[in-house]
Amino acid sequence: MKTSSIFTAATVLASMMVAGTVSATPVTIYTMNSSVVTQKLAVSGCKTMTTGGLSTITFDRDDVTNEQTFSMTRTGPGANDALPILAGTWSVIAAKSSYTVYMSPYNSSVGADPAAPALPSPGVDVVLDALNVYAKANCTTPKTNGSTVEFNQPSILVTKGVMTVKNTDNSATLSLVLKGKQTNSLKGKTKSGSVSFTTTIKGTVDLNGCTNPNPAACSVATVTM
Amino acid sequence: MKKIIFAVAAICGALATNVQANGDTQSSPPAFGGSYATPVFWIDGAKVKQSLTVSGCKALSMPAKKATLTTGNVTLFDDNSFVLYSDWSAKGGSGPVALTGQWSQLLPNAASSKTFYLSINTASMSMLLDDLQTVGLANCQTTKPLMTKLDILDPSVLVAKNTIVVKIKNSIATGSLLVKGSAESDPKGPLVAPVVGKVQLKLTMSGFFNVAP
Repeated sequence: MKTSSIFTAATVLASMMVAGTVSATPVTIYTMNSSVVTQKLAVSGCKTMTTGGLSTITFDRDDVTNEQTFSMTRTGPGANDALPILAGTWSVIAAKSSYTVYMSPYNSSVGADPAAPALPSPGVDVVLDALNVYAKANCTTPKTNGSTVEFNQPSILVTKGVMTVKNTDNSATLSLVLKGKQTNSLKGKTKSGSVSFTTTIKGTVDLNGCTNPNPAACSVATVTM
Repeated sequence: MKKIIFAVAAICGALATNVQANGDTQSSPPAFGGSYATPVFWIDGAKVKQSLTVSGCKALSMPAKKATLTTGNVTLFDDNSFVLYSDWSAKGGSGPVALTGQWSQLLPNAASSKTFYLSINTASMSMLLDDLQTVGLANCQTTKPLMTKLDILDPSVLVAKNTIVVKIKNSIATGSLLVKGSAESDPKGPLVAPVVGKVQLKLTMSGFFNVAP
């Protein structure tokens, strides 16, 4: 037996072992770094608040648990960071010319069972806490002294959480929309009204850990329409 | 005096009839373990209707038309947590799935009703979706025997509605849960490319809305 054959066999075995070993930590599949984010907070009874800046989103895949999680945060500029870190799960539905990453932010609303395990976070409730503070500070028109705005958090639902990526150039648009109810005394009398929060992020997806020529296939839960 | 007594008796009779017609009366607080918070509102023995719709499959309703309604319950605790049960065990589900999270009441109340909102946490929603996957697949297989899988894409699932509306005049409550998302399935068997479709759960319950004394 030639030495080269032994070497070849050893190489093949080694590569098979590497291929068979699953990652112990999540791998980042997609990233959008320093992408432009626009956020709009509309509270009935006051002027719509708009803020903008940069954000970073990472989409990870854990090959041990098959869990896919994302993390989204504002990276600046500005101190009024209306979007604190938000995390959740994701999966992909692919079309011919694009793929859609469905994003479900965690809901860490503590349930009734005191023995239940800790819930994954930070979820949408953390964002709503921050947004309520932001609304109280910035809802100035026609705010009167002593007026309040209290979000009815359980009423606020995620109505949209998707990122659509074009296959041709990896350009992406992310939309996260929350809608629900709030109670305020902005006009003196306590009344309920609506609240909506829209986050739009535009940028280019960096395929960090995805070497597949079909980027959508890097999701363990990819399905094709 | 006789007229007044008659009128009062008539009103009481009408109220009693109204309550009995709905089969709903004030009940004792549900018993939970000692470390649970204290129930403040509850619906016990509510009349429950559920439907599960999967694209390409026959809609599944529980109970079936003209069948006896199933019952369920929901409890709201004083720490703003809640537990609500969705039970598909009659259709192959694993048993009552406890949906949990936080509730709040929208204030001020409307003129004739009170509205409560319930926010379901990720962990219990995942359990519900797992159960619906099993139930949905079994239902689809009754008309599509080659079908082997139904995968609900959890991240695509949105809660479209989750409220309890209580009529102030008679304390009759209607709870509504509507969940929508996408699912992958192989209706023509594993040898044919899978398809993506919609999945929807609708649950409604009605009953007497109990308030802790």
